Amino acid sequence: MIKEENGFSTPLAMIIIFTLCLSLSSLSLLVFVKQKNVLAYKNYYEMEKKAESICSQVLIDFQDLKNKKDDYSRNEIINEIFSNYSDFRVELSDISTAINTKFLKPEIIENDNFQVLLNKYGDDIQTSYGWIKPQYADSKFISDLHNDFGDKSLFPIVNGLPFYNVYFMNRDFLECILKWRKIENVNEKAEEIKKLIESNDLTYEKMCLILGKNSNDSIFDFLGTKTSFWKIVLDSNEISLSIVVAGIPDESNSRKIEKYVLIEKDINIKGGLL
Amino acid sequence: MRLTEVFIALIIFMLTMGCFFECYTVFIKNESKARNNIETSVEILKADYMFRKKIKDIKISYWENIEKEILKEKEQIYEMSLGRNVNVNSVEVMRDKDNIPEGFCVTWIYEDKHYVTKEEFSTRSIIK
Repeated sequence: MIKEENGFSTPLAMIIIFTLCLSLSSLSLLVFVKQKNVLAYKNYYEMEKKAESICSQVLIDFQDLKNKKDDYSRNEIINEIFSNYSDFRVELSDISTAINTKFLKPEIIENDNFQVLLNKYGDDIQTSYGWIKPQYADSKFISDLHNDFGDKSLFPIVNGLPFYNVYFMNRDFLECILKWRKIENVNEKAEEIKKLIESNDLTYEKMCLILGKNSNDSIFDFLGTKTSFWKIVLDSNEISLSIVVAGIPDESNSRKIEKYVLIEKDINIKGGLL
Repeated sequence: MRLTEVFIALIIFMLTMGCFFECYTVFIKNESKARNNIETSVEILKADYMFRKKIKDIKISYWENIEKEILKEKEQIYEMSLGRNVNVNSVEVMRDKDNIPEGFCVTWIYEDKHYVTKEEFSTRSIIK
């Protein structure tokens, strides 16, 4: 018969080993969770850095657009922007060719032509972007701006760049402006302008000829061929970027854009800190 | 079992226990140190992230007077509560080459150490 000897240290050793294992596993669990946390922050900041550099590059790309006389949806610079960001789903839109109810006089907004358009399209024809021209803005709004900025010049918020780019106006919007400025034969002229838009062949000069107005006419405070505010959305599986770029006109030649500046950027890292 | 054997067994047991408890004390000390360090680094990262988020969420339209608006935002950053260990020391305005405010530089203190978070606003004013 085998005689078993039970050492008195066996249960104690078991307890000690168990305690050690427990504290070791709890520590490794904590390290694992926290390390995941730290890594998530690291990834987040890396993605954000990448997004920031894309924003800067987009702004550089836009500078080439200032040499173009007319901005239409598929001119070579815009095509280049699309091809530069082929890794993303790209959306580019003119966000200033719409009615800014804040910057226009109430008398203009209350005009029948504008009311018909606003009733038909609602928010789709409205924007919160655009430049200001004192002659078409509410005087109280202009005086508030002056009070706000004191002695500072209101340029470039107030400038002479036409409000809308005809290339991005729909037929109803174009007709609304033509009717409001009391242009004769609105339908025919709008038709002629639309045909030239379709062939990307509309210029200021041609618009003057069609409308029978000289280039200093007040209708060209509204109708132009340059876009003031662009919105570009770049979307991928990792990040989504929304950038608003404003074209600042030359102070002495309001129809020429001197530079593009970034006024808004919205970086969204998909998954956040997960 | 002879008495000497009991003594030897006791001495070996005491030595083993002594070694074990020494190791255990060192382990516990390092464990709490590691735990603190990990938790501190996460706290720091979290505070930095919160400051960045706050600055990025500041939306000032391009036509508004940013100089006036940022004073209110500055106050809000001072009042941010990010736990009792994080205290805002100073909030400085960062400016671009045209002297237009473009972001904040927040200096904050966490457990007597100074940290700096620099972040740009997501919107820009254009009036110089």
